[in-house]
Amino acid sequence: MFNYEKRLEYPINIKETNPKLAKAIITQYGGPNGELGASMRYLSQRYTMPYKECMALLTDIGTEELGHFEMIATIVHQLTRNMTMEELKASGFDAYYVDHTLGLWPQAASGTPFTAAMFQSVGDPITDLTEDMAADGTIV
Amino acid sequence: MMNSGAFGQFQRGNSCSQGRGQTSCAQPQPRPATPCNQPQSRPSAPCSQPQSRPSAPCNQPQSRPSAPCSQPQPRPSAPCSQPQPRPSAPCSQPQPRPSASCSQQPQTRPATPCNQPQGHSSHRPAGSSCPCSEMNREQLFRWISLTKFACVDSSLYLDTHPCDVEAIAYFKEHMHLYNEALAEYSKTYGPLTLAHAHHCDTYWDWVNQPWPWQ
Repeated sequence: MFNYEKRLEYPINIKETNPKLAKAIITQYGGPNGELGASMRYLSQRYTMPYKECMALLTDIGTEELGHFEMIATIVHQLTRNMTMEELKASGFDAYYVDHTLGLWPQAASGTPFTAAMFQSVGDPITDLTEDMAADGTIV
Repeated sequence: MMNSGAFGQFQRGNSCSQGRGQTSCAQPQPRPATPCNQPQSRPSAPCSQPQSRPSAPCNQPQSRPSAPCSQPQPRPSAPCSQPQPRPSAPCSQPQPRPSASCSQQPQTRPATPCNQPQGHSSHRPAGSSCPCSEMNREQLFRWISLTKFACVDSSLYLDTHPCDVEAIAYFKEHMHLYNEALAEYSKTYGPLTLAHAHHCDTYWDWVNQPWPWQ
């Protein structure tokens, strides 16, 4: 099960307002290669791993990704919490705002809602690990 | 655990030719059928030594299957009866291996007015909270983040290198520092985990701000 620590894995203190940037960064929140996808991917794949070391690793990484999920949410939150109406309209963030206001909702930058279709978990370790590389390998 | 009753054909000694032609088990089986003859990573004769707390060098084979499954296994050729070949600087931490206490890692220690002597013994003095009591809130919070990250990172390494005794020692040392710091912080400034939320009496201060995103 999961415990929570009331602390970001890395401190985030954004003073400026930048909804245009938030529009792009939100893809790391709810997009196909984002942190929520990563967490769900690893936490889903761990059940069928043939080695206990893999179960441990996927569990621990999946858990850490939830912490990353929180950090990205924090970034988007801090970039948008003090928006003016003018900033809102000028940035194009209004399309998101009209449905969610300042709320955080996992979606890609394109507006595609987060979905399990953004990751795969087929129960075969080689396939699953290849899926992991395809998603996280873009960062490596 | 696999219920062998339903897959009786996967007895040891059987080849993997269960009706799929004479294809040997040289390639991954289509899922969700379990792989041929491959014991799960929880053998019925379990490693008598709890894997997570080796009191002796890990001389038990890891969860590499011992059955002669011809499926390529990602395993070392020898069982883990000897220290794994590894670089002399284990895991990825830049610090020198701490055989002594925290005083040898100045680069991770935040600036603190602590007057603690820098060269004390390898055993942590009982009852001492090291420099935690000298730090202010911000410094202590940062120290918590540093030590916990060392634990998280080394735990990921240990997940795939469970026999690395030095890495375990590293993890334990930093976990100890983290727990000390966390207890100190929670007592003074409020809980960071529910496990440390017991210092309150009349008000459930877990709800207090700031929350991490604020």
